[in-house]
Amino acid sequence: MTSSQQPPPRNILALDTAHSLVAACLLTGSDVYHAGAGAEKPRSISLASTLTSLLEKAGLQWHDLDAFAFGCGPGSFTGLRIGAATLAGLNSGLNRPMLHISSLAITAAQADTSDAITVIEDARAGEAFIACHQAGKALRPDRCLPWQEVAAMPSAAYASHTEPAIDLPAWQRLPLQLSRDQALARTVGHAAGQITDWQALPRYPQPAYLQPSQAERNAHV
Amino acid sequence: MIRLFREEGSSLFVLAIESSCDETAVAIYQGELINGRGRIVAERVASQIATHAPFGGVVPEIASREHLAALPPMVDALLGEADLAWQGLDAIAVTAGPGLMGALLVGVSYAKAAGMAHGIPVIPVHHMEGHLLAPGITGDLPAFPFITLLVSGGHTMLVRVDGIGQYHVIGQTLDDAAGECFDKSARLLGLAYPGGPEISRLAAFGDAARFDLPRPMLNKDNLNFSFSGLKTAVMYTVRNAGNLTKDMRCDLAASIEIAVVDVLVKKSLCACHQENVTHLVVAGGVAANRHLRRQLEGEAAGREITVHLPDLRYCTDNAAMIAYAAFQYCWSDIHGPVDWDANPRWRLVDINKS
Amino acid sequence: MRWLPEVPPDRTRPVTEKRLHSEAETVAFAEEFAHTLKPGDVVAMHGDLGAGKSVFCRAVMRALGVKDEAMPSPTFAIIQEYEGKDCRVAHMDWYRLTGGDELDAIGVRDYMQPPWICLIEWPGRAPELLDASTRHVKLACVDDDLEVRRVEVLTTWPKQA
Repeated sequence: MTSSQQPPPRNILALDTAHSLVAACLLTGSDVYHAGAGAEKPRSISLASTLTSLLEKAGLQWHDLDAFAFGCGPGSFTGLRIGAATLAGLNSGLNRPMLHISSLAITAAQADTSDAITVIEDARAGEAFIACHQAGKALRPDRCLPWQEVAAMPSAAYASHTEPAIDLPAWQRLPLQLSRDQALARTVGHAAGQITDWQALPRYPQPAYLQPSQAERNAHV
Repeated sequence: MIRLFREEGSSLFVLAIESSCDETAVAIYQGELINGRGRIVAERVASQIATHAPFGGVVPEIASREHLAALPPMVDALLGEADLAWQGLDAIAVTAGPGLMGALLVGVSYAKAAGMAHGIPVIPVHHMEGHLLAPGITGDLPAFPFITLLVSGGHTMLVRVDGIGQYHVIGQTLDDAAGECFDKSARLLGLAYPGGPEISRLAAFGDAARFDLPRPMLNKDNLNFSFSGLKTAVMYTVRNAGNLTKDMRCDLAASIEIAVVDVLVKKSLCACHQENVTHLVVAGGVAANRHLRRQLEGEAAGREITVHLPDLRYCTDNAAMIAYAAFQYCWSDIHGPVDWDANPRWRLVDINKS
Repeated sequence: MRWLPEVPPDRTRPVTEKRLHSEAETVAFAEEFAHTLKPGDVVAMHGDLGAGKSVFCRAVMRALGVKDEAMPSPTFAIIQEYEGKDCRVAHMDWYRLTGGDELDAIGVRDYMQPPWICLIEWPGRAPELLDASTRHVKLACVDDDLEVRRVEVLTTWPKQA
């Protein structure tokens, strides 16, 4: 099916759990509904009810959803999996397109700037997730680098959820102006506008871990 | 909860999801409300054993990733194979524990969300309870009470089953599980993971009388097990031997297998005697061990004890047993906890406590 | 800035080093060691398969007042929890773990503060989670006698054998 035959989705349910906090929103074309901007940890017990309440606010049923958006990471492995498994469960039987959104792009949107901004998030094991965005567009693919390589990069304005693991002199840390669910809505809205063929999108959410597990690393030493 | 209509011909369809360790498994069970019996409509298992083998054991992070990648397409394919839509399901059963937290969360998060989206109740099932009731999947459960020897890589216990949801642990390992003893002994012998099948394979060519390994706890007046000392004895034997020849490996494997099996058989029969019970169920991964099956059946016959061995495929982790256990709850009108989440350390005695 | 001695003590040297001639001596040493522990302490256990880490841990737990008859190996469950006298004890096996994220998922950090005393086998899987206050116990077999173990108590990571 081509995009000309298929109208763009009206109702998109979006979820990001990459940073141990739940951010969710529902875009209906005319309105945006938000949930979970607080310090709620992604737990299977609360997540589904958070999303249900969003639907209730909008007066929609599950089958009224036209697409899902998944904050696919990189970020906390467990957080990503709870989000992905939840979206996969909601989409079982619905079989709607699954829009994958970089979780670093959402952080970039939180900084709320029109200039180019680097996003740096601690990835543990001496590494950092790094991205570069401008006005909703990725200037480079998301990467995972050792902190030393980050330190060797030319300094720039950056956004992050945590204190960097190393000193980054001459780098300028921008405050996160928007809440994560607001930024999620903005990022999803922007990304949705770029999609020409919704039917070509995957149906199953796939986290972008960007890191092998420690065991896999050890095996290759 | 599920409304039951105990009419002739009416049945419940239960979809079950199991992701507690290194097998992603899904199954659909059709249970008849008139008599509590039923059949497996469709089932699928994706084993990760080959994925974990290079690491010498199940790696939780890798297991969790594999579960997430495998589960959603597996459920879709299963429903397709059974020719069922979500609307045709009456309940979703999911293993809520015990197991690896990250692995459990994949199944539980998926089940809860699917249940919410389709308005289907979700029933948390204790992984071990699934094993305890496994003979009921394809046949009839023995009359209550019966004893189950649950023996796997993570567990070795004797449980008296008085009814659905009524379990009393009457014996357990004080240290290592029997399957763990096989895995660790295999590591000492330089064999691949998982150790049980490897040791059995070599044992077939070996002389079990060559090495006199201890039978821990055999003469203790209780139903507990201890396999840690056996592992240490294996280590001493390996160190003493210096360079292990192929023959010695086989002989040692045979000696290990017979030592473990001896203890499992003696203690299980002792449990039946002590509890005055005539039905013994053997479940869990180690129940696939041929030597154990043969010796149990042989020794039980003279004591008027009937041994019930689940189908080999239902000895290891599977979703059919989770579906069956959940159906038994529905059929018996037992209500599970309302507020629950994945619980990696859920204890058998805490079943029915929310 | 904190005052530092001009010659810092050699923290790599074992605080204690001893030959234990039997399992009974290992148990006695472990009991003695247990009395130096307080809630919030983390003990990293080093040694090969069969070196006696579990025997040592079980003896420590007994001495800390754990009454459970069964102390199942944590290899499968990763964490086993116990009630001790005036403390709780977590016995862990990180052999199958792959690093920090996974350990956070099972709440490992919670066990590294009072009222917990935390005993960790195979700690090398996630060294980044252990701080400088961690006590290290290394057990090793010796060549000449099967029953004998060498134990070292250290304040830093033991050198690779």
